[in-house]
Amino acid sequence: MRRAGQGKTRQNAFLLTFLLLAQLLLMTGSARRAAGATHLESWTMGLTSPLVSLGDLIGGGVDGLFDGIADLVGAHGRSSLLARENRALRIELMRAREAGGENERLRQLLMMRESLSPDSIGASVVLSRHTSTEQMLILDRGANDGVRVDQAVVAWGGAVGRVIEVGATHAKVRLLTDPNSGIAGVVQRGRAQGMVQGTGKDTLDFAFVSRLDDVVLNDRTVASGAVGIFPRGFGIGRVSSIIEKPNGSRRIELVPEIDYRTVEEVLILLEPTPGEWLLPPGLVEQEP
Amino acid sequence: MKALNFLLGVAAAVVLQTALTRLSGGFARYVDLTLLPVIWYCLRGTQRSAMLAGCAVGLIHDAWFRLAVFGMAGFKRTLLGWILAALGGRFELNHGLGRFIVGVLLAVGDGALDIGLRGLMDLSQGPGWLEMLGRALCTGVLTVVVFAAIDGFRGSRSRGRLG
Repeated sequence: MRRAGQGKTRQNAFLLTFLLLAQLLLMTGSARRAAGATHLESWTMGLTSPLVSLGDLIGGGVDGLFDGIADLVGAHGRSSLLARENRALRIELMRAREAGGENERLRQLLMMRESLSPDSIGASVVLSRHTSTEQMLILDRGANDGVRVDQAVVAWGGAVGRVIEVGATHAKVRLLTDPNSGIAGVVQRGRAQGMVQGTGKDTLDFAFVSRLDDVVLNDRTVASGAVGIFPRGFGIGRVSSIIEKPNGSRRIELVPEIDYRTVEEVLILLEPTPGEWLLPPGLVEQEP
Repeated sequence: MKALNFLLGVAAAVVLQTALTRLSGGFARYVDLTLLPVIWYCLRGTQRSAMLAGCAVGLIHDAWFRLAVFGMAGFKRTLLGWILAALGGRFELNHGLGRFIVGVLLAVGDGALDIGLRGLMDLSQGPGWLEMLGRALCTGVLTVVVFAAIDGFRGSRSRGRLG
């Protein structure tokens, strides 16, 4: 009896050692982007994508239900006929707004795509995750659609991030706000150059800017195109604070031009493209 | 039947975590429902099933919910499943306080290993202590609530059969 227990313990220890070693190898392969690790990740994504799609569907449905309940509570106290009519109209209005919003977003993406190059594809955001250690999106386009690692992802208004993993039908995007993200930026007005780095929060750091460079609040920063994958001119953010440090350096903080938490449709640039001075609607371009 | 239950449990956790992330990204920062199958097998299964649950949910978590190197969450959760299942086998933890403690320990262990592995791999810093504390408390409370709900559901079903 005791021997059987010892045998089981030994088997468990073997299994643990095997699993840990296998995953250590996976981690090493993934860090080096070895094909085996990438394939296993892609395979895992492919196998579990129906679960994620189902979860996304349920989340969207519950979200809609909450909206409906909020509308019902708002309509409480009115006559039943008016309330019914109101509800129907609200639902219609919600649908129209949703369709209108989507239409507007898609129209803007189409305009942007036409102004860029035909070598870009639209994608929808399946999942987004924003923590202090990771800021990412998962898109519904993958290797089957021509998506590759290190392609730039943009939306109306500016740069979003870069593709870091590609499955057959999905792609993982590291947002500019991710702490491991960096992009060469230039201030549109004064031409000050620096490196825009993610902070894991909703802001960006504009680092390595010379103290002699002219940077003021609300200056618009765009991709310089000098280093990295983003074409020149894609909007990054606006200067929201400049803190002078005792050692003489400055800490410049940017607010991204795009709200990454609410972005739903994006474009993936399949080929490096010469950039345009793209601005979100309603904004006037600054003179360089 | 046991294998089917295992797969269903893991699948349900992934579906619910995705739905939660879609509904409230801010809240999903503190709540990781994919830890629940690991806790379940730590408290009610064998050491082997806890390890395998940790490995499975970890790899799925790596694929869908993380940017860091693939295999990191799998590694952490396999190890934690093994340790906590050993703890669950030695002490009687399958009650309210015990479940809370196991939930907290798993979340804290996950965060601490995350910080360590990120440091070793020269990645950005792991979660802050405040965020880790929030996650630990949320996981502990969630474990107590979900286990009580499942027990209640099972109890009412068996009462219905007898009645």
